[in-house]
Amino acid sequence: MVMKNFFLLLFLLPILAQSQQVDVKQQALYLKRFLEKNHVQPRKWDDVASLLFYNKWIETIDANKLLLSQEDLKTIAPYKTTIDDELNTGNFQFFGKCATLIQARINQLDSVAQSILAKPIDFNKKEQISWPLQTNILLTKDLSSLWALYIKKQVLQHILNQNEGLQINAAYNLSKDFSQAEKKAGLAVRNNINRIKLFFSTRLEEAYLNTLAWCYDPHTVYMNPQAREEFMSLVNAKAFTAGFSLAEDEEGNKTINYLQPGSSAWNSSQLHKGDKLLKIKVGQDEVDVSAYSSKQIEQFFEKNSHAQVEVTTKTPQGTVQKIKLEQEKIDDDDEIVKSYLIPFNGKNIGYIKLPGFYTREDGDIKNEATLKGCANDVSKEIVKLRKDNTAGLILDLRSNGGGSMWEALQLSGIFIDIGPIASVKDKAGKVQFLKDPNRGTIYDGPLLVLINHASASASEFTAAVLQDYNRALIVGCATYGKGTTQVILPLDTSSSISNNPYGNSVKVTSGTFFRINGSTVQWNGVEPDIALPQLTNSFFERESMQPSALRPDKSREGIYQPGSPLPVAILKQKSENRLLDNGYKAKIKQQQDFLNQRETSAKVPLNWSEYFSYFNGVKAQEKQLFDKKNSVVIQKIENNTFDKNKMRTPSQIESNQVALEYLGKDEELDEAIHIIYDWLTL
Amino acid sequence: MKTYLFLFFALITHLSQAQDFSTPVGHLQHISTQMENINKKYLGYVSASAHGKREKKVEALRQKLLTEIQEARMNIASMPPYKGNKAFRDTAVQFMKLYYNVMNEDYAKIINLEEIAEQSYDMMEALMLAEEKVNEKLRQGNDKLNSARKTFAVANNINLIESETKIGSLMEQATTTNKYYHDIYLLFFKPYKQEFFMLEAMNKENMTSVEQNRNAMGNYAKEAIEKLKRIDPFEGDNRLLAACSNMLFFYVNEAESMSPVTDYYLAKDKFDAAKKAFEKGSRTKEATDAYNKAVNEVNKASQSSNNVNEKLNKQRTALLNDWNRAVSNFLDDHTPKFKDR
Repeated sequence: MVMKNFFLLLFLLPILAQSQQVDVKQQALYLKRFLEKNHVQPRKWDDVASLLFYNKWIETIDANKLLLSQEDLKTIAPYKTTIDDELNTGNFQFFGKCATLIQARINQLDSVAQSILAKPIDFNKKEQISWPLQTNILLTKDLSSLWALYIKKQVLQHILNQNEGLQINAAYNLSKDFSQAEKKAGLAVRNNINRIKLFFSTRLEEAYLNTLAWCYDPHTVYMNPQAREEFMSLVNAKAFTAGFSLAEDEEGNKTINYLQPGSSAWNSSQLHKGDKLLKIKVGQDEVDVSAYSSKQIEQFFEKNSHAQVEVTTKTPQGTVQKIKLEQEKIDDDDEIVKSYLIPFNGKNIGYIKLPGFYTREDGDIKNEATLKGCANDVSKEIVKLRKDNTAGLILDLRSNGGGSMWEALQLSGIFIDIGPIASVKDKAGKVQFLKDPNRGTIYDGPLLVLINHASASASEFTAAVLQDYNRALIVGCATYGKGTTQVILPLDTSSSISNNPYGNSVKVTSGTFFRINGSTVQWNGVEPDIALPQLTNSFFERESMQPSALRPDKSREGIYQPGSPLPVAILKQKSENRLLDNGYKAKIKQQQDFLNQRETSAKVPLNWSEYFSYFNGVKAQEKQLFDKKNSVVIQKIENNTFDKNKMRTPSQIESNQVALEYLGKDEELDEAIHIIYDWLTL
Repeated sequence: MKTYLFLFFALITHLSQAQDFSTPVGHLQHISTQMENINKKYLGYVSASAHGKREKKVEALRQKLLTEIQEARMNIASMPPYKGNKAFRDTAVQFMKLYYNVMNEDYAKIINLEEIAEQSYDMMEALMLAEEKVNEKLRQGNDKLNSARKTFAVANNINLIESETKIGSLMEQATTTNKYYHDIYLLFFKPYKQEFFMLEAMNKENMTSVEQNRNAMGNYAKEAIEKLKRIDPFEGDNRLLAACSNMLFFYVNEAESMSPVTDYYLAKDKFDAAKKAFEKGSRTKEATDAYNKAVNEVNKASQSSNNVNEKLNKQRTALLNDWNRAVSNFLDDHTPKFKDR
């Protein structure tokens, strides 16, 4: 009956770390042995697994299909079915072969770049490139000309990215300003290529090991000490930064990987995971982030701490924003969860946004009951809202990637009187039920939970149990589909991380959790009761899109008392009618069509005037479809009464105002308010 | 005092006659005599426990009871079957085993504790569920025994005359008293335990636990008040009902009086934020005034919270004393006095 200590981390995306010299064969065999022992469903190494590895590896080393020709691929194709044999026998050849090939190609790309960028580029020449590439180019000898076009495209892209709003003439002129821009862009492109070179010469072994880990499941990650440090710092709410961390792809694109609870990044509500960072400005100093590594950018922040920072970002849909942030020391006294009051047609609706299932570090980490994290904060917000006589409550778990399972357990328990919440199954198949830590509820009125494709893990845990108990109406779109839990263990199982902080570790999927009805959110996610039209494409990653994701399994059904069923059918009908009438459904379709089109290959013109119109055409379309500048949909949204007369620093006042404005334009929230109002007035 | 929560059925007894195994009556009789010895030991133990004897003495009597059960079992087991029929004898032996385990609180040997753990929400529920199931087993055991006895009697042409013996009636009285107390105790126990969890949570200033347990405490107390209304006084004695009722109304009131405590947590957070903002920002008159206002608010909130707690603590102590006294008096007055010689 004693509840196990479940301080497990349910995070989404893996991080690539800095490199160290690695004996890839030795590490691979250690890793395989380690995963055999510790992974909840260790993969059997056969030809199917070999192909899985091969495909992921090719995607890793040549995601854009730019570096290798089909001839090249033919030379390594025989290894498609022998990687498992290599791992079983220790006769490693594939890695070495790939390393030689890729080094050769990247060096060639480098010299092509150097020769092109050494002199001014002819932007009058009518050339074009088909982008994104759908297949690798057929012949090796044609790679150089492909790269020449690619580099030209990169330069054009940089020039226009860096010159938002500045006057650049559609007619190409050789003014001094333009050639400066070209030089700067050229530098950025060279930096990019250098970083790719560096990656292939120093981190290829690590990439191989990560591919091996990935084959077991997408959340199992090989970590060298630095990667582990970086990862652990994400969980620590006390770090001194502006509040976000970056993930970087090969091309040097930096996207926001994580938002720190309570930081100004989190508070601004304009930053989200997946947003691409373009520029950072501190005072008069502005930096084009594409020219620098994530590490350099972090150092830039450290050098300029205590200052206000302005970041320029681009959302996955393409909206460019300038956001002011303040670097603040993250204190656990800071309020992280915020609640707002939405007066609507005579009823007061409460709204609570929870961006992550964070926990705090004061208290004894071995005694989870002393840690006061987000569940406690949400309880406080509910007590505040109660003073405003809220008739209904909306809990927003959109884009909440997960976190502490213990917090999720407590948070669910706030709305459920007593009973089991979920079950967990270990490698041996033993099932253990997790129960509501406290009898009673804090709020037992109408509850609506908002979810989207990026609601993962602990969010799914919570939405699932509230759905299974008929306690909340689940609105949005199907969630991510991660029903697994991970732990970080040292690769050398005879040591502990504290004994050997310089050893390598593995974040390994060691357990799975299940819904109280015996099914799982793994792969399928939580299906909403009322689906809202939403954008889906490869930006909006879900678990089932990863070939190595674990397939759904079953557990035992718990003994629980669900409440009476909610009036889903009628509320759903009303919602669907409303979204047809107000044009929202049609608008999403337009946006979807636009995004789909962007994924298919387009012919990008590489002469200046045509590129200029192409680029601006795309941007104009994006703006027209996605810009929210004047589209307030929620007429009244305010702080709750208790918070209204709270003293704030000037930057807090400003970020509060910005948050309110941003929420006012949230169409999904607007629909949720209508739905809950319908519910209250049935 | 050990709270005795099990229902013990009066074991069958008969007027004794000759102990002769060769006759069916003798066979029956032998078993009855064993039962009677056990009942006597049981009564002695319960009596000592209810009438304020020293714990050591009470425990010694319990051990004597356990020993008696073992002896009885062995005596019955060593009896030869009557004309090859050992159904009645064996049923009695089984029952002795069960009875022993109940008295020895070896519940794991009686019911599937793991299943109970899984079905129960927490320790409290598990305990109550376990009790229920053990009682059920005792009931079943007793029924089996009675039915085996009747079968034996019919098969051997014995006319069973159920007459009341002194021990029998004492046992019934002890059992009835115990059951009455037990039913009322359960109504008290649920909200009592919730209050315990709530007070624990207050020590940690954990809003989640405080609020949830507070609500649960209030709800359980309200439910219990309704159930209590349907229980009549025990032979005219309503002291236990009154004491329980007072506790329950206290819990309801406590649940509704706690907002100064949770308001204090919120005021404290607000003050901490104001302090930080004040220290960070410029010391304008406006800022200073706002800060001072926050200081006053949190002090006031702290005062209210402490007042509420003090008042509740006083009431709780007095009422719990009343309850404990009422229980002790009830058991003293209604449990039969008996000394096994």
